[in-house]
Amino acid sequence: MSKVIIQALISCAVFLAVLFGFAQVDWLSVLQLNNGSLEKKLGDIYWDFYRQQGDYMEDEELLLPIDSLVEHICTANDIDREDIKLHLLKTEDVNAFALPDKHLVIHSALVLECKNEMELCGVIAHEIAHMQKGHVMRKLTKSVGLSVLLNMAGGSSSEAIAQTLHLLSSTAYDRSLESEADATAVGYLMNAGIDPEPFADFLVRIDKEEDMPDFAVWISTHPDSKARAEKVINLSQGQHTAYKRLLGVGEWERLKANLLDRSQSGQ
Amino acid sequence: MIAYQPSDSEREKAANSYLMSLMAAMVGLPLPIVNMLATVVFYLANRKRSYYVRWHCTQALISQIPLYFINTVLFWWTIRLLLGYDSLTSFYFAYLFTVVLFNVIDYIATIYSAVKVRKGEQVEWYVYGGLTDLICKPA
Repeated sequence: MSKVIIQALISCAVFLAVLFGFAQVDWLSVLQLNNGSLEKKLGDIYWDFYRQQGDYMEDEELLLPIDSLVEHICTANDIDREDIKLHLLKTEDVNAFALPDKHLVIHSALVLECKNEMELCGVIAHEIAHMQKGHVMRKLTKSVGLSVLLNMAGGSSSEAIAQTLHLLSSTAYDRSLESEADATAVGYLMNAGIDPEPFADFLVRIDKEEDMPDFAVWISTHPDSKARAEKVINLSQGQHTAYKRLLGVGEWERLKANLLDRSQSGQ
Repeated sequence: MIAYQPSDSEREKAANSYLMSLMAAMVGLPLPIVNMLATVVFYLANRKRSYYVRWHCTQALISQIPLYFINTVLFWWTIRLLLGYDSLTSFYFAYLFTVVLFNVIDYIATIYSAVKVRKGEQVEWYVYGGLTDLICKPA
């Protein structure tokens, strides 16, 4: 009996030793499956697909002011700005969302709906929080499964890309992920010296304007906006930060006027 | 196991227990419950045969038990990965390759045992041979 037990223990030890040996290898890198490379491939696929669906605005006059907001938030929070790919799309849907590999997509209608740059910063900080917390890949993996993502990265039908892209741009994250992104965004805003209250105001406003078709996408992806606004206010209360404006009133209005002009002119 | 000269029929049935175990183990890597069920069914079908046949059926059966557990962990881990409940990690591949390696060793040992037993030679596996002696007694 004791001989069998000793042999069984030796067998277990051999199994664990082999497992330990295999565990010393970084298989994700060896097999080129690390999350970074998969995420990068998916990010490129999604962005290539998405840019064909709408008008991609590359005008520096429009991009630079928004880019300066992203840069300011990133710098204040030790986030590598170079990692974030900012895209501005001309579309009437009020929406902003994050794609894999830190592609930040902002719709022109969202900028036009914001009353000031602080509201826009709130939305940007919220989306950056989704990126930094790894929510984008988590949502994708949980929704469609790893096998579908690996298939897509290896070259998949445009239908699969369109369906999963719709998932990212037009469906909500889990309530817990949204909540975490809000809390992180408030932290980002305060670190950057940006008042989070306008972000809360924006959430309250979209909650009141539910009947407006323009807001349909943003509301569907961000439910319970009023409750979230209250949470944003609660999180920012009691903090004595000296807030500042990032863009002058004139600069913000000029951005919106240019955006409106481009939107109406069809360029 | 005591020295014994099995008949041709006994040798065939004893060798079949390993072949059944091998076939089941091949299906059982992706679907672990299959190899356990198949080997249990074969064991039950032969439990009233001679000591020689029972002994080898028992050895084939108990050799599947550890494989069943490690394969089951791999199976459900893979399902969780494919459904997105877990993230892909290097350790998953380390476990996958370890399990595959031990399954391959089991296949080889099983084929070797089936051939040897069919020729009437006695094969006692490390751990399982001693364990079988403890479980399976002459009638």
